[in-house]
Amino acid sequence: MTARRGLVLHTVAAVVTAVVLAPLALPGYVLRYDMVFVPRQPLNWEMIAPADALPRAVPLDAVVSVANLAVPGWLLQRIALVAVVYLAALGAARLLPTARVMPRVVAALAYAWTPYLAERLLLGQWALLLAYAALPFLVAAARDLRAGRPGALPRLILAAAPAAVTPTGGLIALVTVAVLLPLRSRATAAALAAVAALNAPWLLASLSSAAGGSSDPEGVAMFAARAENWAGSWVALLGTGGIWNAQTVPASRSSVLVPVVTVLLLAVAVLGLRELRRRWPGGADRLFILAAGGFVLAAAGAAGPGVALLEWLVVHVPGAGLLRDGQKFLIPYALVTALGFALGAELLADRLARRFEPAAGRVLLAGAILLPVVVMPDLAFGASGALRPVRYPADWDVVAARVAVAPGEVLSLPFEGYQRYDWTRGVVVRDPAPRYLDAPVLMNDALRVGAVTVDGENPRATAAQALLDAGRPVAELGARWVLVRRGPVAEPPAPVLAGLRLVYDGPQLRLWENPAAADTGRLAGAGRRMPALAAHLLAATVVIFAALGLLRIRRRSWYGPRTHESGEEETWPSWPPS
Amino acid sequence: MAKLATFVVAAVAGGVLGIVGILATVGAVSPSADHVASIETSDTEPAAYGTR
Repeated sequence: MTARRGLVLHTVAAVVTAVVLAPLALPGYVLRYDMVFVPRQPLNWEMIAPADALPRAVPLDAVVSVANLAVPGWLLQRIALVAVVYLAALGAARLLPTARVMPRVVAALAYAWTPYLAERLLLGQWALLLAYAALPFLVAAARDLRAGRPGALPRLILAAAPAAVTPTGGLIALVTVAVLLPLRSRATAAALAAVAALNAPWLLASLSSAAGGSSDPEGVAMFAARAENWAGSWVALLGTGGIWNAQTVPASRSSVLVPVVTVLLLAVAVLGLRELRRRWPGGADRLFILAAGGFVLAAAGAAGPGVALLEWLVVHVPGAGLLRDGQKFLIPYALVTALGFALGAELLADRLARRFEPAAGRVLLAGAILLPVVVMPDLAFGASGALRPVRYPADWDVVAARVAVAPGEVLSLPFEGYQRYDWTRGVVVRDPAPRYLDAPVLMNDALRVGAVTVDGENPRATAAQALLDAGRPVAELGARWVLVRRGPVAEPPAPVLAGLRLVYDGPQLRLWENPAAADTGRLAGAGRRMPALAAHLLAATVVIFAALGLLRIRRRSWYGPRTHESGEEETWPSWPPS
Repeated sequence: MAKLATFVVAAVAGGVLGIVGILATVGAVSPSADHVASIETSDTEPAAYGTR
């Protein structure tokens, strides 16, 4: 790719990023649902291996805590979100097997301006979106590894690393590598071993956690794909939408024309996918298998026999709760659709150009570039202001300082994991306490979806809920601190706080101390979490060695994927035959 | 002829994008839609992870 064309793609990625994340120019933190960044996240055992909760944010929390040692939380959040959108656009554009720049721009928009990205962003799942952004680079690295190109293995590891900061992303990376690479080869074994090592932190953390491996089957229905308009949930999934939460869906998805545009987009994509098979023999088929598998997982929970199967799995197979929110596995499908749409648009543009004049083809490509934006205009400007930053009330710093003086377990009340506050402008956000306070925080991991409560897995949270339901003093739990977050949810009644001493009374937070609490309490148990720490160190070592290996090999851009470096004859490094 | 064809392609593409864009924007600003734009007023549940 010429430097000028590369510059065009970087510019497109930058413009898309700036348009989507414009409100992040304002000071503060974007707090939405699962997205909680704090000024300085502590690095403690709970970040490495939660004692009682499932390791849903392992090794993410440790990575953020370590990064926070050098970069403040507000900046780290901006780096992460910019990386998501920028790399998604750039990765798809560079992965497209073409010599022309306009179809690459089509791919960039078709992958970075999707309902999937918008909905997961609005749900605050930025770490899952790191896997989304990393997938094009991972696919390119797998292609190069298969072809025996130098530096492919380190690039594959570095592409898998951001994906593997969450269990879901790590699994997607591992399956991607397993599907795209040939079964019996040393390179495949090395790649699988490396990506498995990246997954080791959450696997070992789950072994040391007291949380049960099974999940509430009610979650299957609650977190199943959801219809966004008249066309039903399957069509929503075909358009890469269909997230379970109605509150995190861009409003434009309810437009009556969305299903029509989805069909139009898929029709063009089908044309393009045939061309993708031709330009990418062997590799395209494997990518299709990956995408189809992801789509089946996404659709399984919505209807049919898949529902019963998933319900059985989440109860009887440890860790199968990961499959409940199946829409998140649409990532490979979204990539395949974007590549197909871009190639299909290129084919149609070529036909028009040959039949009439080149300008007609360019007009068509310009239309294809704009189509994702036009059909979902409300992703612009932080999803129409939904990503507006807010400031933490000063109470949080005061409480964090008090707890830091005498660390001990903190019970966070009201016993709701997610809550809306005035200071978040009414936006629902996960309890910030576990990340703000340098202490283990006992919060409710049951999830309320409308009127239904999906039970959590944390046994201590279950015990705390039983205590609260009975109206008994929470001091019996033995936590050293009780934090009360003031907001629209009623504060706990006086009998529940009996035996506690109020040590801070602010406008947003109240902190109570339990004089009867043991000094060490839940801080103990470091020994059984050592394997998880070792897994973190192993994963970090793998990443460091991959980076060093790549630095040694590569003369130029280290992050790939690169297609053709000189001339336009070899438009795409082909896959070896399967 | 070629210029006319280009004009037709541009008109069709522009028309499709325009209609889709207008309808999508209307959907986005419609106060009755079940979506994120109405999050602060439509969902009074103070402690739910979400609604379906």
